[in-house]
Amino acid sequence: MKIKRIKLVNFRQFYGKDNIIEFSIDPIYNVTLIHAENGVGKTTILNSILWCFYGKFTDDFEFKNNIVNIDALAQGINECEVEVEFIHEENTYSATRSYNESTRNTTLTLFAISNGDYQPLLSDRTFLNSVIPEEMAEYFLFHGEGISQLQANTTNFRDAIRDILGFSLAEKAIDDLNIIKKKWQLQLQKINSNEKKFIKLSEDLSSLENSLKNKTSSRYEINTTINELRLTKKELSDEITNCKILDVTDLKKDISRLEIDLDRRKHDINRENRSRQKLINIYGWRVFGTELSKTSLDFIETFTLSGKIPAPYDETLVNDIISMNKCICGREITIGTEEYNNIISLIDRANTADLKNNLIKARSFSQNLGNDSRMFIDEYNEINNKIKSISHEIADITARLEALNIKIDNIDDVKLKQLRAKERELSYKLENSELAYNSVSREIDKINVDITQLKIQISKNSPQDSSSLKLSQSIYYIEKLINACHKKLQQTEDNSKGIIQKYVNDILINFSRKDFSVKVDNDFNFQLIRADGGIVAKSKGEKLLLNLAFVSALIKLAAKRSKAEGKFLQPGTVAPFIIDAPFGELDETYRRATAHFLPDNSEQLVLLLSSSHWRGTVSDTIKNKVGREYLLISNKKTIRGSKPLDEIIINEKVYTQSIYESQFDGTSVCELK
Amino acid sequence: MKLDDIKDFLNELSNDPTLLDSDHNIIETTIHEIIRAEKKYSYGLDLTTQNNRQDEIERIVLNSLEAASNENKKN
Repeated sequence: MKIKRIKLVNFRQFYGKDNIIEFSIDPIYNVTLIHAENGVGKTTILNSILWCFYGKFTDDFEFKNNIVNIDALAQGINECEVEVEFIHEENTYSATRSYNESTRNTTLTLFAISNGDYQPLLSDRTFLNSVIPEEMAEYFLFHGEGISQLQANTTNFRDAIRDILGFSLAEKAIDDLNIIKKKWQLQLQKINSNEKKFIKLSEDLSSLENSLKNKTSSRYEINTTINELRLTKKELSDEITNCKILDVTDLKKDISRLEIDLDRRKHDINRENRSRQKLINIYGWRVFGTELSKTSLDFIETFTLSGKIPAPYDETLVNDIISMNKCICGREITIGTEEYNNIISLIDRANTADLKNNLIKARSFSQNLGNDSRMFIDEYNEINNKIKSISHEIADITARLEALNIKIDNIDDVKLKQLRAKERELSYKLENSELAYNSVSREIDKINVDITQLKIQISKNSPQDSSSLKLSQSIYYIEKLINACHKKLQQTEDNSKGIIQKYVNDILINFSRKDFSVKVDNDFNFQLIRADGGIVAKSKGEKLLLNLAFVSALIKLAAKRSKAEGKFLQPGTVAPFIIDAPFGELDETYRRATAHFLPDNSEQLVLLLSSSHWRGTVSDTIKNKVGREYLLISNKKTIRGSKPLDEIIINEKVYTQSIYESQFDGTSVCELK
Repeated sequence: MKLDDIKDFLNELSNDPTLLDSDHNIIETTIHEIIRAEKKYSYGLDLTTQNNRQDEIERIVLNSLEAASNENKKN
């Protein structure tokens, strides 16, 4: 989809009907620039499109109920409208949303335009959602504030990926399936109200499932809090590092380094503890093998040496003597005599091939058992020694950290003391939140085990009449469907994380000044990684660059998925990237980089810029891509008086940005290119 | 089917052997039907109440269960 033009009629600060902006739809000159100083209407332009399509505004858009222009209202005009004309799959459409202040009613009309003929489309919501799904729209219509908010917590990144992948319908389906399952469970209980044990078990299951749902959502919230606290703590730590108080910077850098080391070592000790646990689970029994092996081998050796095992004569020899009735010394042996019976009794203990084999096996088993048990003990001791050594290191790092913290706390500076107090408070909160997270996780694990056991008991005690059986089967089946949906969502999310990471890295490799790459961990933390693998503390500019690269990657993913079948997830979309004030915290190098990659990664780019964003690098880099250019002019009824001329130089021409003694207070649109 | 598609399918299979379950296809088809119903009731001309939407989904699940039982009987 590409936007052709928008027309604002008495919408917010845009008075009258002449507020038209034609957007560039050229594939090469794909950038439309709209210049405006703060407060003149950049954010209103962005919000007008969002409002026209979905009847909503961005969260930070102020006075959301004041939609009709004040001067229009004063003249008795109660209605305003926004018309967006757009091209989708080579057809042109027009969407118009109007609002009446008297009735407070909003209406949306949608037309397909063919040779100047307007054909109304009835299913406007279905159509608009197929052009650009509502939950994806906010990533195409992006405001500066929204970009910095992306870093506020990691769940924002996760939500963004889920939104752009079109998870909403599947999540709604899961909710509906759970409601139906609950309904069936209640029906089953109702028709079996006399089956006390079954009812009790079903009620227990229902209560455990509710509890699981609550605990899972509470864990999610705690995780969000932990991410926010970590981020705030990191920012506070950076503030202390950069507070320019003697020695503090070095001390704080040392502390940060030691804290990273401490985290790493804690991670190591957890890993070793897990290895020890695993070793005991799998091979722990071998520890009993030492004694068993020793006793067995001693027994075998003693009896072998004394000639008892194996016997010093062979079974064949004894059989030959008996069959020939003659001893090896030549003496005749008569059947039934005492000598004959003595020789017969030798067969029981005579040596055989099987006996020899068994003895070899027994000796080898005992030896292996002994070796294995010694290996287990060696491995166990080795891990124990590692744990001991890491524990010493942790104690050492903790002591050094304590000493450094005391040094910083002894520096007599009011601001520093305030920052340190805040930092301690945050650390305390973070520690408590992490403890709460672990505790809830353990509870969730236990509930899951209890649910599995209860389900087994319920199936054993289920009533066997036909209607109960049918309901039980239906519940079992709907659970299968719910699990299949969850699994599909999880798989899609996992796969897409890698794709987004690759897209962001492609942008950073080409445009970041430093040799950084991006890594996305399991919790959707986007970390900048140095070539040596260390995590980079992001500057404000780098955060913004990372966020812009992330949104560009999302847009690329949405475009890639635009031809998806949409059987399970909403298909992606190709849509214009309309971005308000994107260059805020960026230095010149990063501005140039952003001005390069944004047009390259979007089909149609609309930049809303103030003069401070436009001057210099951005202007030089982007001017060859600009197809259309506008200036929003501030109109005032008042006289200019001694106020300075409000001028902007664009493409070497001077333009006045404020008109005084105008007929209205508000914004008008001036076309530059 | 292209060789790459077969490779992808075998990879999927090694990660998720339940793909070989006889009712796996029925479950897939049912999920798609449910999503279609969600779409119809959320954005379409049939935009109505939550109850209507859930009634239709319930119908889809029950029909699918019957189809799965018939399939099992045949096997």
